[in-house]
Amino acid sequence: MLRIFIIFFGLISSSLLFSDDSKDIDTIYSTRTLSLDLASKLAWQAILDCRKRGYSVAAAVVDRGGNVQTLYRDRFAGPHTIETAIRKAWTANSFRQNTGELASLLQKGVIPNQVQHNPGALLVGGGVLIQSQGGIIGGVGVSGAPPGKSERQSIDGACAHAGIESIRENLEFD
Amino acid sequence: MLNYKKLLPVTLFSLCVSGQPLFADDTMTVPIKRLKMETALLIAQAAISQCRKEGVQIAVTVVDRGGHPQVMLRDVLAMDISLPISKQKAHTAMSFNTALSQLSDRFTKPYMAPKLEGLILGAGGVPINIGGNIMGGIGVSGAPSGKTDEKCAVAGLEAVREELELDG
Repeated sequence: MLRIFIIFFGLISSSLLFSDDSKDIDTIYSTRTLSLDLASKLAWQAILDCRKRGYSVAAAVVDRGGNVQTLYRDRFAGPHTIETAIRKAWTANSFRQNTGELASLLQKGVIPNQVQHNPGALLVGGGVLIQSQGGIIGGVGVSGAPPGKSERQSIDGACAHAGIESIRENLEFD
Repeated sequence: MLNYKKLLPVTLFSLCVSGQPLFADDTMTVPIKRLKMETALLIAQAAISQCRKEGVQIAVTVVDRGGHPQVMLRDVLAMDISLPISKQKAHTAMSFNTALSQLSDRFTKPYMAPKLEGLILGAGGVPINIGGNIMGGIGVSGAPSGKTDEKCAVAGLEAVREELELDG
């Protein structure tokens, strides 16, 4: 009786442990990436929104791997805005949080001070997550406008949000 | 010793002929033409679409004459390193005012100028030179051969060349 029980138990436990692995080999997963067209539209609309506000900025879009897909630098945006825009986008994407929020948490001391010295990270408002159907597919960063009322309400961030809103329908329904 | 008395008539003559005295210029500034971001974007998009026709996905950078990128585009499947390489190609082509395919056998010794950081000599970069005005550079990277890279960069320039020439 005991022997039967042990065999039975062994069968059940092994099927519980290995059933998923043996039936369908689950070694690959897929992620989604913005098309170049959509990434371009996003950056362009962010630039246009900042133009309407009277500012010349740079806008960068990075994919989920943190690599730049598009970078636009408007006419009077200084040379530093290139690197800053990319790093804001990179930070939002990697930390899975808008940089305005991150900067605010840093000021309050919620995020350890050392985090802002992470290579590549830039915890300054203006980097916004690009989300699609519940997942993160990249980040957009804007640099060149003066600071807004607070890190959460930065002008750079507002332009970045405007860029995302311009492709919202594609993000949710494509 | 220079004989200034002998040189004087020569100098006067050359001033009359050229009409541009060396020091007595009446303006104190130099107007420099620059590409609008929109123009740089047209160039980059034309380069991407040419390379898609060739069957490759690439990255392209358009730099202004300060060497700073105005537009960078990386096609979805182009490698990440193709983007910084395209920037270096654009910068080098702009600085040397020459298509990089023309420079490949020019600097062969170990410590020459192109060994400077940020410059690269592989084919795939062309200057944006309109009637002698250097307005920037185009760099393309990601195709299996530099020839294809350069073809796409040239296609980018050709997309706007006529209009730029009309603008003078």
